[in-house]
Amino acid sequence: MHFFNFDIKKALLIIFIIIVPVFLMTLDRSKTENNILFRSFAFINSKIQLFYYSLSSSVYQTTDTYLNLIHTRKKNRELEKENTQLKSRLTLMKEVQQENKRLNTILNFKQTSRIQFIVAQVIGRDPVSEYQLITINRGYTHKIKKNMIVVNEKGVIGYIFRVFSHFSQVILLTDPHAAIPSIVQRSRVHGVVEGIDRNKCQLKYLKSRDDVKKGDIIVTSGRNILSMGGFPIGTVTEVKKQQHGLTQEVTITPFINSSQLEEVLIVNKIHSFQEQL
Amino acid sequence: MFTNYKMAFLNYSVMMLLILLITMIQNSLLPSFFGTHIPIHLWIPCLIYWGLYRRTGETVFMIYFIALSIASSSSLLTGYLLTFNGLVLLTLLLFKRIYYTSWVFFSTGCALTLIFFPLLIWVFAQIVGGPFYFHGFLSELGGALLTWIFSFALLSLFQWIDYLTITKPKEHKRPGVL
Repeated sequence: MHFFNFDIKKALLIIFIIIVPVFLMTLDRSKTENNILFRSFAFINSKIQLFYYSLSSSVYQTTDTYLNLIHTRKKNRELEKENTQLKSRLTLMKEVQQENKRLNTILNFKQTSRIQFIVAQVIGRDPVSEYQLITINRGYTHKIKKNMIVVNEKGVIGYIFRVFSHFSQVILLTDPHAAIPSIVQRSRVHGVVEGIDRNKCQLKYLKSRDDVKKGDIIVTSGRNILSMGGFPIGTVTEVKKQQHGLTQEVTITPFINSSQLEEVLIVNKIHSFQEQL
Repeated sequence: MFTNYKMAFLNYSVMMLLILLITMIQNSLLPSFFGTHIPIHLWIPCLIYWGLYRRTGETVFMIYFIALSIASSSSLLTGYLLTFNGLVLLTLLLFKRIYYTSWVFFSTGCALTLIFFPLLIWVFAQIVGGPFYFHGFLSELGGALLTWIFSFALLSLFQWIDYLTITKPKEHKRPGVL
Protein backbone atom coordinates (compact mmCIF):
# COMPACT_ATOMS: atom_id res chain seq x y z
CA MET A 1 0.00 0.00 0.00
CA HIS A 2 1.33 3.39 -0.94
CA PHE A 3 2.06 5.72 1.99
CA PHE A 4 0.00 8.56 0.56
CA ASN A 5 -3.13 6.42 0.08
CA PHE A 6 -5.95 7.62 2.30
CA ASP A 7 -6.27 5.50 5.38
CA ILE A 8 -8.55 6.42 8.28
CA LYS A 9 -6.08 4.94 10.81
CA LYS A 10 -3.23 7.06 9.47
CA ALA A 11 -5.42 10.15 9.50
CA LEU A 12 -6.43 9.56 13.12
CA LEU A 13 -2.82 8.93 14.08
CA ILE A 14 -1.71 12.21 12.51
CA ILE A 15 -4.59 14.06 14.21
CA PHE A 16 -3.89 12.65 17.67
CA ILE A 17 -0.11 12.75 17.74
CA ILE A 18 0.65 15.82 15.66
CA ILE A 19 -2.29 18.17 15.18
CA VAL A 20 -3.87 18.00 18.68
CA PRO A 21 -0.53 18.41 20.57
CA VAL A 22 0.61 21.28 18.37
CA PHE A 23 -2.79 22.95 18.79
CA LEU A 24 -2.56 22.49 22.58
CA MET A 25 0.89 24.11 22.55
CA THR A 26 -0.57 27.27 21.10
CA LEU A 27 -3.37 27.49 23.68
CA ASP A 28 -3.23 29.49 26.87
CA ARG A 29 -2.36 27.47 29.99
CA SER A 30 -5.69 28.25 31.72
CA LYS A 31 -7.65 26.79 28.81
CA THR A 32 -5.91 23.42 28.96
CA GLU A 33 -5.57 23.10 32.71
CA ASN A 34 -8.92 24.21 34.13
CA ASN A 35 -10.78 21.05 33.29
CA ILE A 36 -11.98 18.15 35.41
CA LEU A 37 -9.65 15.62 33.75
CA PHE A 38 -6.53 17.64 34.50
CA ARG A 39 -7.65 18.32 38.08
CA SER A 40 -8.50 14.63 38.62
CA PHE A 41 -5.01 13.65 37.55
CA ALA A 42 -3.54 16.26 39.88
CA PHE A 43 -5.70 14.94 42.73
CA ILE A 44 -4.65 11.29 42.21
CA ASN A 45 -1.00 12.32 41.86
CA SER A 46 -1.11 14.29 45.10
CA LYS A 47 -2.49 11.26 46.95
CA ILE A 48 0.33 9.10 45.58
CA GLN A 49 2.89 11.76 46.49
CA LEU A 50 1.42 11.98 49.99
CA PHE A 51 1.75 8.20 50.35
CA TYR A 52 5.40 8.29 49.25
CA TYR A 53 6.04 11.29 51.49
CA SER A 54 4.61 9.55 54.58
CA LEU A 55 6.62 6.43 53.71
CA SER A 56 9.91 8.30 53.36
CA SER A 57 9.30 10.58 56.34
CA SER A 58 8.47 7.64 58.64
CA VAL A 59 11.69 5.87 57.61
CA TYR A 60 13.61 9.13 58.04
CA GLN A 61 12.04 9.80 61.46
CA THR A 62 12.79 6.29 62.74
CA THR A 63 16.43 6.57 61.70
CA ASP A 64 16.62 10.07 63.05
CA THR A 65 15.10 9.10 66.41
CA TYR A 66 17.57 6.25 66.84
CA LEU A 67 20.54 8.46 66.01
CA ASN A 68 19.28 11.19 68.31
CA LEU A 69 18.94 8.85 71.29
CA ILE A 70 22.71 8.48 71.44
CA HIS A 71 23.23 12.14 72.24
CA THR A 72 20.02 12.76 74.18
CA ARG A 73 21.37 12.69 77.75
CA LYS A 74 24.20 15.08 77.03
CA LYS A 75 21.97 17.44 75.13
CA ASN A 76 19.30 17.31 77.81
CA ARG A 77 21.66 18.74 80.44
CA GLU A 78 22.74 21.51 78.12
CA LEU A 79 19.14 22.33 77.23
CA GLU A 80 18.05 22.45 80.88
CA LYS A 81 20.75 25.00 81.53
CA GLU A 82 19.74 27.02 78.47
CA ASN A 83 16.09 26.78 79.44
CA THR A 84 16.69 28.38 82.83
CA GLN A 85 18.53 31.25 81.16
CA LEU A 86 15.78 31.71 78.56
CA LYS A 87 13.03 31.72 81.17
CA SER A 88 14.63 34.61 82.97
CA ARG A 89 15.07 36.44 79.66
CA LEU A 90 11.44 35.79 78.71
CA THR A 91 10.20 37.43 81.89
CA LEU A 92 12.26 40.46 81.01
CA MET A 93 10.98 40.44 77.40
CA LYS A 94 7.36 40.33 78.54
CA GLU A 95 7.95 43.49 80.49
CA VAL A 96 9.50 45.16 77.43
CA GLN A 97 6.62 44.01 75.23
CA GLN A 98 4.04 45.45 77.59
CA GLU A 99 5.90 48.73 77.67
CA ASN A 100 6.17 48.71 73.87
CA LYS A 101 2.42 48.18 73.47
CA ARG A 102 1.62 51.04 75.82
CA LEU A 103 4.00 53.40 74.02
CA ASN A 104 2.70 52.43 70.57
CA THR A 105 -0.88 53.10 71.63
CA ILE A 106 0.13 56.49 72.93
CA LEU A 107 1.95 57.34 69.68
CA ASN A 108 -0.91 55.95 67.54
CA PHE A 109 1.65 53.91 65.62
CA LYS A 110 0.03 52.42 62.50
CA GLN A 111 2.97 51.32 60.39
CA THR A 112 4.08 48.30 62.37
CA SER A 113 2.65 45.11 60.99
CA ARG A 114 2.70 41.44 61.73
CA ILE A 115 2.51 38.72 59.15
CA GLN A 116 0.32 35.65 59.46
CA PHE A 117 1.75 32.52 57.90
CA ILE A 118 0.33 29.14 56.99
CA VAL A 119 2.88 26.37 57.50
CA ALA A 120 3.02 23.61 54.88
CA GLN A 121 5.18 20.61 54.08
CA VAL A 122 6.62 19.76 50.69
CA ILE A 123 5.19 16.39 49.60
CA GLY A 124 6.36 16.23 46.00
CA ARG A 125 8.48 17.77 43.29
CA ASP A 126 8.18 18.31 39.57
CA PRO A 127 8.32 14.98 37.67
CA VAL A 128 10.18 16.74 34.85
CA SER A 129 13.24 17.91 36.70
CA GLU A 130 14.02 20.58 34.10
CA TYR A 131 11.11 22.48 35.70
CA GLN A 132 10.54 23.34 39.31
CA LEU A 133 7.12 22.95 40.77
CA ILE A 134 6.60 21.64 44.29
CA THR A 135 3.47 20.17 45.82
CA ILE A 136 2.54 21.19 49.38
CA ASN A 137 -0.01 19.66 51.74
CA ARG A 138 -2.24 22.73 52.09
CA GLY A 139 -5.13 23.67 49.80
CA TYR A 140 -8.13 25.96 49.65
CA THR A 141 -9.63 24.27 52.72
CA HIS A 142 -6.65 25.82 54.55
CA LYS A 143 -7.43 29.25 53.05
CA ILE A 144 -4.76 29.01 50.36
CA LYS A 145 -5.39 31.15 47.31
CA LYS A 146 -3.72 31.41 43.92
CA ASN A 147 -0.68 33.74 43.72
CA MET A 148 -0.03 33.86 47.48
CA ILE A 149 3.68 34.32 48.22
CA VAL A 150 5.53 31.32 49.64
CA VAL A 151 8.62 31.98 51.75
CA ASN A 152 10.98 30.40 54.24
CA GLU A 153 13.34 31.90 56.79
CA LYS A 154 15.81 32.87 54.03
CA GLY A 155 13.46 34.58 51.59
CA VAL A 156 10.93 34.10 48.79
CA ILE A 157 10.52 30.56 47.48
CA GLY A 158 7.86 31.22 44.86
CA TYR A 159 4.11 31.61 44.67
CA ILE A 160 0.98 29.46 44.62
CA PHE A 161 0.47 28.25 41.06
CA ARG A 162 -2.49 25.83 41.28
CA VAL A 163 -4.83 25.33 44.24
CA PHE A 164 -6.81 22.18 45.01
CA SER A 165 -8.90 21.17 48.02
CA HIS A 166 -6.19 19.69 50.26
CA PHE A 167 -2.99 20.49 48.41
CA SER A 168 -1.44 23.17 46.22
CA GLN A 169 1.36 23.49 43.73
CA VAL A 170 4.02 26.16 44.21
CA ILE A 171 6.07 27.42 41.28
CA LEU A 172 9.59 28.18 42.52
CA LEU A 173 11.14 31.51 41.59
CA THR A 174 13.92 29.54 39.86
CA ASP A 175 11.44 27.84 37.48
CA PRO A 176 11.70 29.15 33.91
CA HIS A 177 7.93 29.84 33.89
CA ALA A 178 7.93 31.89 37.12
CA ALA A 179 7.65 35.69 37.04
CA ILE A 180 7.68 37.84 40.20
CA PRO A 181 7.31 41.64 40.14
CA SER A 182 10.33 42.93 42.04
CA ILE A 183 12.24 46.01 43.03
CA VAL A 184 15.88 46.86 43.70
CA GLN A 185 15.88 47.67 47.42
CA ARG A 186 18.49 50.44 47.22
CA SER A 187 17.46 52.36 44.09
CA ARG A 188 13.71 51.38 43.97
CA VAL A 189 13.99 50.36 40.30
CA HIS A 190 11.20 48.01 39.19
CA GLY A 191 11.62 44.81 37.18
CA VAL A 192 10.41 41.21 36.92
CA VAL A 193 12.36 38.27 38.33
CA GLU A 194 12.31 35.16 36.13
CA GLY A 195 13.99 31.81 36.72
CA ILE A 196 16.99 30.57 34.74
CA ASP A 197 18.11 27.47 36.63
CA ARG A 198 18.23 26.09 40.18
CA ASN A 199 20.80 28.64 41.35
CA LYS A 200 20.09 31.62 39.14
CA CYS A 201 17.35 34.08 38.26
CA GLN A 202 17.31 37.18 36.12
CA LEU A 203 15.83 40.60 36.67
CA LYS A 204 14.19 41.56 33.41
CA TYR A 205 12.68 44.65 31.79
CA LEU A 206 15.20 47.13 33.18
CA LYS A 207 16.31 50.11 31.13
CA SER A 208 20.03 50.45 30.41
CA ARG A 209 20.26 53.60 32.55
CA ASP A 210 18.48 52.07 35.59
CA ASP A 211 20.63 52.05 38.72
CA VAL A 212 21.55 48.43 39.57
CA LYS A 213 24.89 47.34 41.06
CA LYS A 214 26.48 44.05 41.98
CA GLY A 215 25.51 43.20 45.56
CA ASP A 216 22.12 44.96 45.47
CA ILE A 217 19.28 43.16 47.21
CA ILE A 218 16.12 42.42 45.23
CA VAL A 219 12.79 42.29 47.04
CA THR A 220 9.19 41.70 45.93
CA SER A 221 7.52 44.91 44.79
CA GLY A 222 3.98 43.95 45.74
CA ARG A 223 2.67 44.95 42.33
CA ASN A 224 0.29 43.03 40.09
CA ILE A 225 -0.50 39.45 40.98
CA LEU A 226 1.67 39.22 44.07
CA SER A 227 0.18 41.77 46.38
CA MET A 228 2.72 41.69 49.21
CA GLY A 229 5.99 43.55 48.86
CA GLY A 230 9.27 43.66 50.71
CA PHE A 231 10.13 39.96 50.86
CA PRO A 232 13.79 39.30 49.97
CA ILE A 233 14.45 37.38 46.75
CA GLY A 234 18.20 37.42 46.23
CA THR A 235 21.39 39.36 45.55
CA VAL A 236 22.57 40.79 42.25
CA THR A 237 25.66 38.85 41.15
CA GLU A 238 26.17 40.12 37.61
CA VAL A 239 25.17 43.20 35.62
CA LYS A 240 25.75 43.27 31.86
CA LYS A 241 25.13 46.56 30.10
CA GLN A 242 25.19 46.61 26.33
CA GLN A 243 26.89 49.63 24.82
CA HIS A 244 24.04 50.59 22.49
CA GLY A 245 21.28 48.45 23.95
CA LEU A 246 18.08 49.64 25.56
CA THR A 247 18.08 47.09 28.36
CA GLN A 248 20.55 45.42 30.71
CA GLU A 249 21.00 41.83 31.83
CA VAL A 250 20.90 41.38 35.60
CA THR A 251 21.63 38.00 37.14
CA ILE A 252 20.45 37.23 40.66
CA THR A 253 21.46 34.50 43.08
CA PRO A 254 18.38 33.65 45.15
CA PHE A 255 18.61 33.41 48.95
CA ILE A 256 16.83 30.06 48.97
CA ASN A 257 18.22 26.65 48.03
CA SER A 258 15.50 25.08 45.90
CA SER A 259 16.78 21.54 46.36
CA GLN A 260 16.57 21.62 50.16
CA LEU A 261 12.98 22.61 50.75
CA GLU A 262 11.02 20.64 53.35
CA GLU A 263 8.77 23.13 55.16
CA VAL A 264 7.48 26.36 53.67
CA LEU A 265 5.44 29.32 54.88
CA ILE A 266 2.58 30.78 52.90
CA VAL A 267 2.02 34.48 53.52
CA ASN A 268 -1.64 34.68 54.43
CA LYS A 269 -2.32 38.11 55.83
CA ILE A 270 -0.52 41.14 57.14
CA HIS A 271 -2.18 42.45 60.30
CA SER A 272 -1.62 46.03 61.23
CA PHE A 273 -0.47 46.67 64.76
CA GLN A 274 -3.82 48.29 65.52
CA GLU A 275 -5.62 45.04 64.58
CA GLN A 276 -3.34 43.13 66.91
CA LEU A 277 -4.32 45.36 69.79
CA MET B 1 -3.46 -9.86 21.77
CA PHE B 2 -6.07 -9.94 24.52
CA THR B 3 -7.90 -13.18 25.22
CA ASN B 4 -10.95 -11.54 26.75
CA TYR B 5 -12.26 -8.14 27.78
CA LYS B 6 -11.97 -8.82 31.51
CA MET B 7 -8.26 -9.48 31.13
CA ALA B 8 -7.85 -6.44 28.91
CA PHE B 9 -9.55 -4.26 31.54
CA LEU B 10 -7.40 -5.75 34.28
CA ASN B 11 -4.24 -5.25 32.23
CA TYR B 12 -5.07 -1.63 31.47
CA SER B 13 -6.05 -0.85 35.08
CA VAL B 14 -2.88 -2.38 36.53
CA MET B 15 -0.68 -0.74 33.90
CA MET B 16 -2.21 2.71 34.42
CA LEU B 17 -1.90 2.45 38.19
CA LEU B 18 1.67 1.26 37.85
CA ILE B 19 2.57 4.10 35.49
CA LEU B 20 1.10 6.62 37.92
CA LEU B 21 3.09 5.08 40.77
CA ILE B 22 6.26 5.06 38.67
CA THR B 23 5.92 8.64 37.45
CA MET B 24 5.26 9.89 40.98
CA ILE B 25 8.05 7.89 42.67
CA GLN B 26 10.64 9.85 40.70
CA ASN B 27 9.58 13.14 42.26
CA SER B 28 8.63 12.03 45.78
CA LEU B 29 10.85 9.19 46.91
CA LEU B 30 13.83 9.06 44.56
CA PRO B 31 15.10 12.61 45.35
CA SER B 32 15.71 11.36 48.92
CA PHE B 33 18.22 8.83 47.53
CA PHE B 34 19.72 10.53 44.50
CA GLY B 35 19.14 14.22 45.26
CA THR B 36 17.21 16.69 43.15
CA HIS B 37 20.03 17.50 40.75
CA ILE B 38 19.89 14.23 38.84
CA PRO B 39 16.98 14.18 36.37
CA ILE B 40 15.42 10.71 36.39
CA HIS B 41 12.63 10.20 33.84
CA LEU B 42 11.01 6.88 34.69
CA TRP B 43 8.02 7.59 32.47
CA ILE B 44 10.21 7.26 29.35
CA PRO B 45 10.72 3.46 29.68
CA CYS B 46 6.92 3.16 30.15
CA LEU B 47 6.39 5.08 26.93
CA ILE B 48 8.96 3.00 25.02
CA TYR B 49 7.42 -0.25 26.28
CA TRP B 50 3.98 0.70 25.03
CA GLY B 51 5.41 2.01 21.79
CA LEU B 52 7.23 -1.24 21.09
CA TYR B 53 4.91 -3.93 22.38
CA ARG B 54 1.43 -2.50 21.91
CA ARG B 55 -0.66 -1.50 18.95
CA THR B 56 -0.43 2.11 17.78
CA GLY B 57 -3.92 3.02 19.01
CA GLU B 58 -3.14 1.72 22.48
CA THR B 59 0.13 3.66 22.53
CA VAL B 60 -1.66 6.88 21.55
CA PHE B 61 -3.98 6.38 24.52
CA MET B 62 -0.99 5.85 26.82
CA ILE B 63 0.78 8.91 25.38
CA TYR B 64 -2.14 11.07 26.49
CA PHE B 65 -2.34 9.30 29.84
CA ILE B 66 1.37 9.83 30.60
CA ALA B 67 1.34 13.44 29.38
CA LEU B 68 -1.67 14.35 31.54
CA SER B 69 -0.25 12.53 34.53
CA ILE B 70 3.05 14.42 34.36
CA ALA B 71 1.72 17.81 33.29
CA SER B 72 -0.74 17.89 36.21
CA SER B 73 2.21 17.90 38.65
CA SER B 74 4.58 19.99 36.56
CA SER B 75 4.91 23.52 35.23
CA LEU B 76 5.65 22.03 31.81
CA LEU B 77 2.82 22.54 29.31
CA THR B 78 0.72 19.50 28.31
CA GLY B 79 1.19 20.36 24.63
CA TYR B 80 5.01 20.11 24.97
CA LEU B 81 4.81 16.66 26.50
CA LEU B 82 2.24 15.41 24.00
CA THR B 83 4.33 16.62 21.06
CA PHE B 84 7.43 14.98 22.51
CA ASN B 85 5.60 11.69 23.15
CA GLY B 86 4.09 11.83 19.66
CA LEU B 87 7.52 12.28 18.09
CA VAL B 88 8.84 9.34 20.12
CA LEU B 89 5.97 7.19 18.85
CA LEU B 90 6.60 8.22 15.24
CA THR B 91 10.28 7.34 15.60
CA LEU B 92 9.42 4.00 17.17
CA LEU B 93 7.03 3.21 14.32
CA LEU B 94 9.86 3.81 11.86
CA PHE B 95 12.39 1.81 13.87
CA LYS B 96 9.99 -1.12 14.23
CA ARG B 97 10.77 -1.90 10.60
CA ILE B 98 14.32 -2.86 11.55
CA TYR B 99 13.26 -4.67 14.69
CA TYR B 100 15.75 -7.08 16.26
CA THR B 101 16.54 -8.58 19.71
CA SER B 102 13.92 -6.97 21.88
CA TRP B 103 15.70 -5.96 25.10
CA VAL B 104 18.56 -4.43 23.15
CA PHE B 105 16.04 -2.48 21.12
CA PHE B 106 14.14 -1.45 24.25
CA SER B 107 17.26 -0.24 26.06
CA THR B 108 18.57 1.55 22.96
CA GLY B 109 15.17 3.24 22.55
CA CYS B 110 15.24 4.35 26.19
CA ALA B 111 18.79 5.66 25.98
CA LEU B 112 18.15 7.60 22.76
CA THR B 113 14.89 9.09 24.08
CA LEU B 114 16.63 10.15 27.30
CA ILE B 115 19.35 11.88 25.34
CA PHE B 116 16.88 13.58 23.01
CA PHE B 117 14.44 14.72 25.71
CA PRO B 118 16.38 17.83 26.89
CA LEU B 119 17.40 18.50 23.30
CA LEU B 120 13.82 18.51 22.09
CA ILE B 121 12.64 20.68 24.98
CA TRP B 122 15.36 23.13 23.91
CA VAL B 123 14.11 23.01 20.30
CA PHE B 124 10.52 23.69 21.49
CA ALA B 125 11.80 26.59 23.58
CA GLN B 126 13.50 28.06 20.50
CA ILE B 127 10.47 27.61 18.23
CA VAL B 128 7.63 28.52 20.60
CA GLY B 129 9.71 30.96 22.64
CA GLY B 130 9.23 29.19 25.96
CA PRO B 131 11.81 28.82 28.71
CA PHE B 132 14.48 26.13 28.86
CA TYR B 133 16.54 24.84 31.74
CA PHE B 134 19.55 22.54 31.38
CA HIS B 135 20.90 20.67 34.40
CA GLY B 136 24.43 20.44 33.14
CA PHE B 137 26.06 17.71 31.09
CA LEU B 138 27.11 15.45 33.98
CA SER B 139 23.74 15.63 35.75
CA GLU B 140 21.87 14.86 32.53
CA LEU B 141 24.21 11.97 31.81
CA GLY B 142 23.85 10.62 35.37
CA GLY B 143 20.06 10.89 35.17
CA ALA B 144 19.97 9.15 31.78
CA LEU B 145 22.23 6.36 33.06
CA LEU B 146 20.11 5.80 36.18
CA THR B 147 16.88 5.76 34.16
CA TRP B 148 18.47 3.34 31.71
CA ILE B 149 19.43 1.01 34.59
CA PHE B 150 15.92 1.26 36.07
CA SER B 151 14.42 0.55 32.64
CA PHE B 152 15.57 -3.09 32.78
CA ALA B 153 13.66 -3.65 36.04
CA LEU B 154 10.63 -1.88 34.55
CA LEU B 155 10.79 -4.03 31.41
CA SER B 156 10.72 -7.19 33.53
CA LEU B 157 7.86 -5.81 35.62
CA PHE B 158 5.75 -4.89 32.58
CA GLN B 159 6.43 -8.26 30.95
CA TRP B 160 5.41 -10.00 34.16
CA ILE B 161 2.13 -8.08 34.31
CA ASP B 162 1.46 -8.83 30.64
CA TYR B 163 2.26 -12.48 31.29
CA LEU B 164 -0.20 -12.63 34.20
CA THR B 165 -2.93 -10.91 32.23
CA ILE B 166 -2.18 -13.04 29.15
CA THR B 167 -1.02 -10.26 26.87
CA LYS B 168 2.49 -11.47 26.27
CA PRO B 169 4.86 -9.19 24.35
CA LYS B 170 5.52 -10.55 20.88
CA GLU B 171 9.15 -11.59 21.45
CA HIS B 172 9.04 -13.07 24.94
CA LYS B 173 7.73 -16.40 26.03
CA ARG B 174 8.71 -16.19 29.69
CA PRO B 175 8.51 -13.22 32.04
CA GLY B 176 11.62 -11.53 33.35
CA VAL B 177 13.84 -12.77 30.53
CA LEU B 178 15.72 -9.93 28.92
